[in-house]
Amino acid sequence: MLGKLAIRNVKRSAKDYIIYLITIIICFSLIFALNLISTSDVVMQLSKGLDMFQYIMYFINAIVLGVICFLINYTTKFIFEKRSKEFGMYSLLGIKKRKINKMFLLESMLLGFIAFIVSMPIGFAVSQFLSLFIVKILELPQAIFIALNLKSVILLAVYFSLIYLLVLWRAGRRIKKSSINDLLNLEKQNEMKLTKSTKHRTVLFLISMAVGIAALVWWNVKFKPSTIEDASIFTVILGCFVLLIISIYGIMISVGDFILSIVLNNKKIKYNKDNLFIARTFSAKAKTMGFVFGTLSMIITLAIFFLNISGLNKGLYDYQIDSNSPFDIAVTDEREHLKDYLEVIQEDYTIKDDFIYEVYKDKTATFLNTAPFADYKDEENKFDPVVKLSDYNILMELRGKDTVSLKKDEYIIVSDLRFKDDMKNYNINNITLSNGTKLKQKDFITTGYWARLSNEYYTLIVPDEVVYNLEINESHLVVNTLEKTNVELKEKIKTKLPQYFVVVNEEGEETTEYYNTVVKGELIESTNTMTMILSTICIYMAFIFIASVGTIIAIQSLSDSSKYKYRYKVLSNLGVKDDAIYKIIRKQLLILFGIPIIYPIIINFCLITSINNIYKIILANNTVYLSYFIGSVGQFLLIYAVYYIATYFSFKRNIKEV
Amino acid sequence: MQVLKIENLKKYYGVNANITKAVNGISFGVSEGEFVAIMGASGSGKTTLLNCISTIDIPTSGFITIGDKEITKIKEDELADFRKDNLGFIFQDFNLLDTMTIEENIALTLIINKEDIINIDKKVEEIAAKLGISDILKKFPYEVSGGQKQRCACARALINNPKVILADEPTGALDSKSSRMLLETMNQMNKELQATILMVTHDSFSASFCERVLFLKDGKIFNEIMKGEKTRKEFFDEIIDMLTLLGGDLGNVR
Ligand SMILES: Nc1ncnc2c1ncn2[C@@H]1O[C@H](COP(=O)(O)OP(=O)(O)OP(=O)(O)O)[C@@H](O)[C@H]1O
Ligand SMILES: [Mg+2]
Repeated sequence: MLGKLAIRNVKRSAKDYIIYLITIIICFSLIFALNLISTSDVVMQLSKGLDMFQYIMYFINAIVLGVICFLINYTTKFIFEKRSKEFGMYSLLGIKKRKINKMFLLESMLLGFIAFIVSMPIGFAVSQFLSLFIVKILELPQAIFIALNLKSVILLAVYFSLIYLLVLWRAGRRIKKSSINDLLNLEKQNEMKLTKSTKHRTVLFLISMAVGIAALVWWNVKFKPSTIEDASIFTVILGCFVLLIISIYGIMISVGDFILSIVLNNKKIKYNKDNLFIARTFSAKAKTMGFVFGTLSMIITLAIFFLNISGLNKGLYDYQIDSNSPFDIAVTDEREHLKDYLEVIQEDYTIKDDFIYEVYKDKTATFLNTAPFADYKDEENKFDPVVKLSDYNILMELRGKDTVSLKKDEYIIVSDLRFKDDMKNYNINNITLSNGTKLKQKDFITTGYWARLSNEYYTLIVPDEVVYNLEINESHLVVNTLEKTNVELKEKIKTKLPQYFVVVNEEGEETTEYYNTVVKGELIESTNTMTMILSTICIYMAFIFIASVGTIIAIQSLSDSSKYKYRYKVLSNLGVKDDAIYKIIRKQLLILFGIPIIYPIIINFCLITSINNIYKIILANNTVYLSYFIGSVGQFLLIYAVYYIATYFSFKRNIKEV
Repeated sequence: MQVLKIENLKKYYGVNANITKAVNGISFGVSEGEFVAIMGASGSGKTTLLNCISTIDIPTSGFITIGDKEITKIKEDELADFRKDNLGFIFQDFNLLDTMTIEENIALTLIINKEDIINIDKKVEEIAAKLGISDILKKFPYEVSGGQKQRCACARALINNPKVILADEPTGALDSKSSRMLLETMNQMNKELQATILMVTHDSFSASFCERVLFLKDGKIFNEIMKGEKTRKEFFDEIIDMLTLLGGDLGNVR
């Protein structure tokens, strides 16, 4: 009979339980999918040589397991709080705590078990989806099918039992330790805790801050191109992570008190607008939920970090394509040959732009004679490549970039960051071309460069009139087409114009040289897609993390909404207008959503700035990472905002309900 | 025979500088079948005292003996059985479960005692009729008035014919007619079933139903008066005099 009543009770608070159920179903599906993949025969076979892959899988598994354990514990606690009054009443009316505990245990187990069963088919579907990624990562010729296997079901069952044992053991202790009064007034008591003031938290805040700064500085010192290859880098990464975790928890636990003490000690701030109200709410939240906020912050840090890495990799990929082939087709050959190429291209493609320019040789080779090129033995080709300013500007216009201007006695050198770095020590400014013209350097730019502009390293841009007497090295044709190019085009050019590709060497052997033609479509296909895949996986992980954080905060605030229902009713009875109440709610939710993201954003900014020390030489420029950073934070905030808005509206509905 | 004995009971909330001595050394005894009222200013520790007696809260120190059992010593399980068989508790703030109908809230005690369904229905209807809430049985707590909620809370506590009734301001939200209905029900249980009743109240009229009134001040017993052979009117006047002496504005002075 009581069982029936309890079940009816559960039905009546179904809304809360649905959140709970969905959360654990998502969790278990994820674990199951990861299990299926890491234990699948096919994948085991494939990853034999790839220790790294196994380790990554373990790592992901561990993180996911940790997050899930936390999530389930949190939701269980939430449900427990919801029902504590009922349990308190049962206890008062003479039901033994042991029995109440058993009831709650059975209930949670039942829900868990439903989630366990449902999560298997869902997890299976997810694993198939993930296997597509793996196929791409390992560049497998055909798709693999991840079969259901007993091992992962057992593993899931083990995880399930472990998590529930832990979570329910804690719930049991909670019931045992609380008096009936505690149970009846659990919600009120939670708020009581807030009033306790603790000075030592300010100290904790400062220490945590110091630890965080130390970790970031350490990370920055170690993340230099010169040190990155040391074996010790893994120790550094691990050490920094541990320090950062400590710092995040410390700060999130103490930040509320710290801010409150600042506000309280300064009358000017204290009585300005809502400051006191905000500081109080803030510190209250941080105090009761310090640990939860810490964990949320950590997950957010990870999510933004993954988004950043994904952004960097995407940037890397784009830059690779752009620096190798900014135009759809680029051909290097003698001028008279070039129209033949154009004809072949025209057969299948509509030509949007085409342009031919020459590369001249400056035999003085000021730059090529520096130490970095010491092994450059090919005397015949020892020259600095030179391109006329007008040609260069037309190329820039075709790429949609800014043009440049030069005085009569100036030149510009264009190259990439790596070369610029190499040249730093040589300080070459004034040069004399082989025809006697003296020029001084106006600029060293890296934005207009691509590998095929002339040679593989750098190009000098000079005023048109100074190239007289310079020998032409070769002519270049660049073409943009309306249609997207593909691999077939290159094959076609090769078969249609074999005379330009086949080279007969001194021994009379024929070899085919392909390098004089670059087709963007081919490059995209052959460029290692690993970076793209990695960035996709990172995004996938990040979304899971953001979703978990959003869910937890949503649950937390919705539970607030029922707690505060009465309070808002009083406010409204006192004549506070609905709009004003909504404003308070928005502010409160903003604090709740806002607290855990500030520190992670700062951390990520520092981390990514340090990482850029290494990435910058293979990225478009020094500061482009900032746009990736802003992009990642933006993506994060966008999804986060959706949660915020959804929570706000449910919150509003909840307090309006009764 | 003393069914309830309290010795030097203390209950402190908070720590150090923030400490509240809600109950600060209270001793008294209650005989079986006695109907005792507890009065005192708001914050004088009445609810806390009741909570300690009912084992809802754990006292800081002191002894509470119910029957022949020292309840601060016995095991949780035994306490649960004691509450199930003997105790009816009426909360100042009702403590109804929002997710259950009024009927279910009232029946909870019986359900927990595993009575059979026909019996439960009969008893619920009976007590509901006595307290005048028969027509709201199917509603949820948030759909009924404060006074109706309070009567529901009383019905829940009384339905089982408990040996000891601890009532925290059971008439606080009731009009005089409903108050009288409730007090008469309690009086009847006191007379017919020898139930021992401890009732907190701010209302001298309600208190005049009792045989003895304890006055609390700052967590201590300030005074106590007995009805003895007095009429209810005389006793009522005496209570009022006492309250004036206590100096509190205890409201509801009629
Ligand atoms: N959980 C608690 N934590 C801290 N202090 C408490 C707690 N409960 C009660 N108090 C304090 O203990 C004192 C006695 O409270 P109690 O509720 O017993 O008063 P009361 O006599 O029932 O008052 P009322 O007539 O208003 O119901 C009060 O000062 C109150 O503020
Ligand atoms: Mg009280």
